Amino acid sequence: MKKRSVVVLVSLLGAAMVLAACGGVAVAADYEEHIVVAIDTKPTNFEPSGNDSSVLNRLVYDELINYNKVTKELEPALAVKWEWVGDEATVLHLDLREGVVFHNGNAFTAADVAYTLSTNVNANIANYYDHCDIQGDYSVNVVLKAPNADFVNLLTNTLYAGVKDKESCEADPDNGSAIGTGPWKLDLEHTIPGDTIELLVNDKYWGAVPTAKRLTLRYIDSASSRLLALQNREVHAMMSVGETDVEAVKADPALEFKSGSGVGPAKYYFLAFNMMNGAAKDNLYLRQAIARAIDNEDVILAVGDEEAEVSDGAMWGYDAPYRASASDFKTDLSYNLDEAKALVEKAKKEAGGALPELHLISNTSKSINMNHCLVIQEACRKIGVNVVIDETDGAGVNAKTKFNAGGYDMIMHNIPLETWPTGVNRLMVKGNGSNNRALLANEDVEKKLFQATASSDPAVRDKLYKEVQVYVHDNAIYVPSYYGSRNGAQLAGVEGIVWANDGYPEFTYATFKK
Amino acid sequence: MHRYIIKRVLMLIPIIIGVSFIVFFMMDMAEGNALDLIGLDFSEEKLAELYHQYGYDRSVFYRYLLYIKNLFHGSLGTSIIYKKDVLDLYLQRLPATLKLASASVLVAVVLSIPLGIRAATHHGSLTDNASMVLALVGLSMPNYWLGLMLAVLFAQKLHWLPSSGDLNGIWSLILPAITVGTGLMATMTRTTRSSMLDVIRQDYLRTARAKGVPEKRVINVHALRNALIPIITVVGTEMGKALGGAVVTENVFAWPGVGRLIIEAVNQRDTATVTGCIILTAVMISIVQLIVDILYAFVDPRLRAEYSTGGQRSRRKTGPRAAALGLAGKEGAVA
Repeated sequence: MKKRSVVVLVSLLGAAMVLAACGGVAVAADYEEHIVVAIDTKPTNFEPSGNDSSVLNRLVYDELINYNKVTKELEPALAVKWEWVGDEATVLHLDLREGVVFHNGNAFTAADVAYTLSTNVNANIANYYDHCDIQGDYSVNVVLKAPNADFVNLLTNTLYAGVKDKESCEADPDNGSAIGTGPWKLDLEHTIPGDTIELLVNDKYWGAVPTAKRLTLRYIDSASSRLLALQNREVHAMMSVGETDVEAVKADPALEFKSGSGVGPAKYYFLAFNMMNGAAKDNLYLRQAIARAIDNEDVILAVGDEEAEVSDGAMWGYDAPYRASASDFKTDLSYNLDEAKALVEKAKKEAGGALPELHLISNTSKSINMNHCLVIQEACRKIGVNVVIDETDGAGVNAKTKFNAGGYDMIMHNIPLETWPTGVNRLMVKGNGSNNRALLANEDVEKKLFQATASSDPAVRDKLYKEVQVYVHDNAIYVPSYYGSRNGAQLAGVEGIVWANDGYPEFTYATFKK
Repeated sequence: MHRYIIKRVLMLIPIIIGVSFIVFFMMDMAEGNALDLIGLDFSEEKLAELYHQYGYDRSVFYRYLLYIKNLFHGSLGTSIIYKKDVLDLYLQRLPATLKLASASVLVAVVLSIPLGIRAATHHGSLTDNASMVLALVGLSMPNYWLGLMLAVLFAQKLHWLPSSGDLNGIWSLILPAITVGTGLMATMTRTTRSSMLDVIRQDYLRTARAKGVPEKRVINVHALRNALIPIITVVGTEMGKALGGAVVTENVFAWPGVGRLIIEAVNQRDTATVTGCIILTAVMISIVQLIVDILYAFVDPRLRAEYSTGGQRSRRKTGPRAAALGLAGKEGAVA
């Protein structure tokens, strides 16, 4: 009897172990190994500083420092420690993570950091970076040409500091930069640049290794085609739901609508006056009249962005430090049609008669841009200002606003609200800033920006940055419109995607229960 | 025959120069360039270096001459956007385009030839009228509309087929091929019908029938073979067009073909990619046309004889293609 009991016990134990083992296998098998995502920007090349695909960069490369979008704190990534050497923000010391390897098995060292920074073509890095003093395999001093307290923030972005393998870049100039240290490695053999990007999991990743084994990024240009692919379960997630499809996605129980809400909006939309050679550049009353004629609630209704929030007039980031508020401004530019009409009369006197016809650029890349422009045109019509909308595409906009510096009076545009508080907005008013769509070139503004960048003292930066914002606001150079959202959708059951506020979701740890 | 092929190959040189000239200068007329697009955040030094490297600091004529010089050294240039050799880019997209073009033409041929024959042999009947209405509908339906409707029905509603991409083997091909094939089918059905109508009234078919040849054989062998040349011409032309990339359909179905590459490159002012791809497409079309001309010889013994005698008879008139289309002479058919 006793013997039989032992046999039964051992048998039960064995069965339990087999079941447990099966259970373990079942858990792993519950998740799909291959995740497919429909994206709306196409990765065309594999140079982290020269492409425009933060989605891909975040998968393949690691930044030196991580910016936590929820806590808004800097966290260690490939650099485990960072500090300014001396009082001026000109020498940044970095202690690097040991034991990290690139996808090709090469060890990550300080030489790779120096190579990455020295080959970066971006003005934010190139205009400040001077050289690196390598102090050991895992210790380096980054030396800048001029003080820049924001430089640490730049290292949180793979566009500026997505670390490349020096050895493979030098050995293979065409594809060497496709090798990073990130959680996913590029499968170039099966990748079609600009269309389908195939990635394989990096089993030797220094951080948490993703559950999925393969990740495919598919570029699908049209929002409705992306949604069709999602509804047909060809993809597990999609970026950017079309404005007209949002309700359908929300109503579908098989899908989940996602937006950057909770970590702040994604983009800041504005109207900029051409301050270099636009027809309104010398007529402050005209610019102020237009600013007061636009009801941004109408704009939001027209663009159909349910998550959007009207800008309160400040042109700095949504919840950024050093941000001016209504009490800082000397001029009220809020919506008031009567005031706008009164300002138009003053503008006419200033112009010595009739007001000029104004040309407003609309970027044709998205339909909401045209809707926004139509609201501006109608608002101007109400106060007797004639506006002609000129449509052009991305290359045309850049050609007009940056390189040819002219051919328009106003432009409706937007900038992504990136990960650090002052960087992007500063570029809107900097003489050679990439987002300076107003073509503003003001010596006093330049001086204040330089002083603020150089200072590590928050009080000094706060004062200077606010003075810049007040100047820009009161002179109606930029007319802030609204903070817009970027959204996406995924199949119910998909987990692990971070729908980031900068409009570039992170798919690193995407999983899908079968 | 060889002389004719060599002549056709040599004709590619002016075609390439002409096509590259038109495309290059049209791209230059568009506002902005690829460096404007990618170089927004670049440092001024880097941007100046790139402007110099790609010749944007010189006139468009200088850039074009440089392009032609490189072309005759076998280089189609490097894409500023993709940072890749244009030939590599094209070759990467070509399989998808070849697949779609072949499948579309196959769909069209399989459906249109029986339909065209049936319409011709039942001239004036309900079948004939129905075929022609079908052809008219096929011609009238825009590809983007048909593609979307098919995707909504078979992907969104029925979940039978993928709506986009080329990741599911033959299943991915079905909807784009039907979309492109429907338009082709319409043209081919009409051509087959009219060509067959011409042939079935010929005396030699009456003779064949009088000799007791079964009607099926009269139509499918004697009549069809003689009606094939205009059909082959249309198939060749449509195949050539499809090889240039079914631009609209490729966009609707996010198909990774040459057409989609060209459209994206136009939007990004990627002159090297646009010019290179269009040159290669022109070459592909010329090759298809050459194959079609050679096929004529296999189908029509009269032309085979002309090719073997150096095409003297046809040159005297209007050339082998015109001869193939029956414009160069009416020597009588061989049944």
